Amino acid sequence: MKKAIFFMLFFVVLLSPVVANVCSSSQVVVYAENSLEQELEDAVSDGLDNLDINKLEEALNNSKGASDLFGGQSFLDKLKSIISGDFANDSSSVWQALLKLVFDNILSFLPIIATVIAVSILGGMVQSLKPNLNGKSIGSVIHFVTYGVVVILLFTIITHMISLTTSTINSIKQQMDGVFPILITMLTAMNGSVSVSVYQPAMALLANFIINIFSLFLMPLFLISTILSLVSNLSNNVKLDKFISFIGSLFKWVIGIVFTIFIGFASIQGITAGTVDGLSIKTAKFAIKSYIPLVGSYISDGLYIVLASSSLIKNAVGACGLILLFGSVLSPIIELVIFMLSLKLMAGIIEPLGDGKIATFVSTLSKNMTMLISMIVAVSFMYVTLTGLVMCSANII
Amino acid sequence: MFGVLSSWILSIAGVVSLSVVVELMLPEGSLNKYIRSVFSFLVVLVIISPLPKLVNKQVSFQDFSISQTYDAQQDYINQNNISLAVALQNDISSVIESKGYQKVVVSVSYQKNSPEFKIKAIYVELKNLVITSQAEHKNIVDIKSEILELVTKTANVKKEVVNFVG
Repeated sequence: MKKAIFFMLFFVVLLSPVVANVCSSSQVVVYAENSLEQELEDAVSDGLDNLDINKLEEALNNSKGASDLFGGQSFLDKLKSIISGDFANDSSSVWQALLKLVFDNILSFLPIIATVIAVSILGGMVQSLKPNLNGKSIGSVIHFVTYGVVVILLFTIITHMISLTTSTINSIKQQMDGVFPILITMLTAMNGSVSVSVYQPAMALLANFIINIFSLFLMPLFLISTILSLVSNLSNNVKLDKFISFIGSLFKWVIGIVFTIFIGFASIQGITAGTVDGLSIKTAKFAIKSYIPLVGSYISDGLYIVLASSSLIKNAVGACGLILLFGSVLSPIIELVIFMLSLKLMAGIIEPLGDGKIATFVSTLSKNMTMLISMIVAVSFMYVTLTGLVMCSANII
Repeated sequence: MFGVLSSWILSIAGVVSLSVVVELMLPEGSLNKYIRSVFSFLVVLVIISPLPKLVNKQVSFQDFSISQTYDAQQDYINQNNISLAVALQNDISSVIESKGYQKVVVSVSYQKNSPEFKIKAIYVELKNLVITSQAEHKNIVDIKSEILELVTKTANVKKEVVNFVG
């Protein structure tokens, strides 16, 4: 027993300098990390002062959904809070806003749904109750009138939906104009020359060529398909269903090819370029550290703090841009989806009670609304992918 | 592009609506089916009418050119280059100091107006050199060669870039 106590004391005495050493050295490490953090913060705030983000603030002010999601903060404030790591965890408020949006939209579409259903049921009843003298032409006149009323009612909403989609795509383009130059600036500042050479053309392609394809070619295809489906259900004689399905598959193929080729090329080239740049930065860092093993990791980090601040700003701008995109796209997509679903509901209710051709027209319209939804979703998905790739490439750490 | 498409669509819709109206107005008779077939021909004619233009390449695709590119913001790049140069100077002088040579003045000059940070030359001034007990060499030639090696390794540059002043 005595021996055991003696040994324990001996060990304590033996170990105490080691323990003290470990404690003090860890204090040194903590101190070094703190000062590094401080330096990094200074470098980041210097960088933010030199950055021009007016276009993004403008885009934020133009979109109501996004400014709700930002909680009244300006873009710069949100950037700073993301960089310093306090993401506001307010997912419950997002869900509540979502639910409110959904119910508001349902309520706003309800009168139109009710009117269309009432008119077409009335038309069907008159059709079946009409006096049976020379019946055919009276029947087609009744159909013509009912159809006209339904078309006028629905097209007031469809014109609104078209302008909504166009303005959403324009706002995404505006956000690209704000975010892409900053990302290119950051990549250039981090000496990511290979990444810049890949992403600069990809961004120009997305923001000009692809957006133009969407607004100058795919949008007219939607209009063609809608108008043809209107005309095609006007009478039994001239049927244009096959032509409408041709337009629909043209739309699908064009959007599919543009989407696949863009995402494919951007991701393959982007991943390679990002790895090359990251590797060249890392090898430089590794050379210094291996040359000056003990002090190297603390001393020669000044250069890397400047580089890392650019990297931080790049990723924060990317993240903020994606929040902005999410906020401005969410409400149009919900509106379009609810309108599409209510068209399907209308078609389902009209079909057994009223006119068959009106039901076909309404269900074709609901198919066409998926075109608008897929346009917005495709543009924002390409934007998200490109921004995400830039955020992942040429990172220092 | 848009104008061509919209006029095409309007003419299709117009012909079909006209055929429907005519059908509503016409009395029942033996002539009816001929009129219907005439209108069907008209619809087909209107639908294929833009094809010859497409074949003759009269449609312009000017709207789809890439007109605008995204360039880096030069203000940020300039400021960033300045802070990179300052940080590199501090790094090099602290590495040299850790080897026991104090008061060595290092200045980095880089290419202005270049998108990337490219080091043009590094000037090392040994006028006020203080050699402490840590130092490996006392001879000025050896010191110069050691400092040269430190600078090239730290800044990752070639030896020709480094110049000694004074």
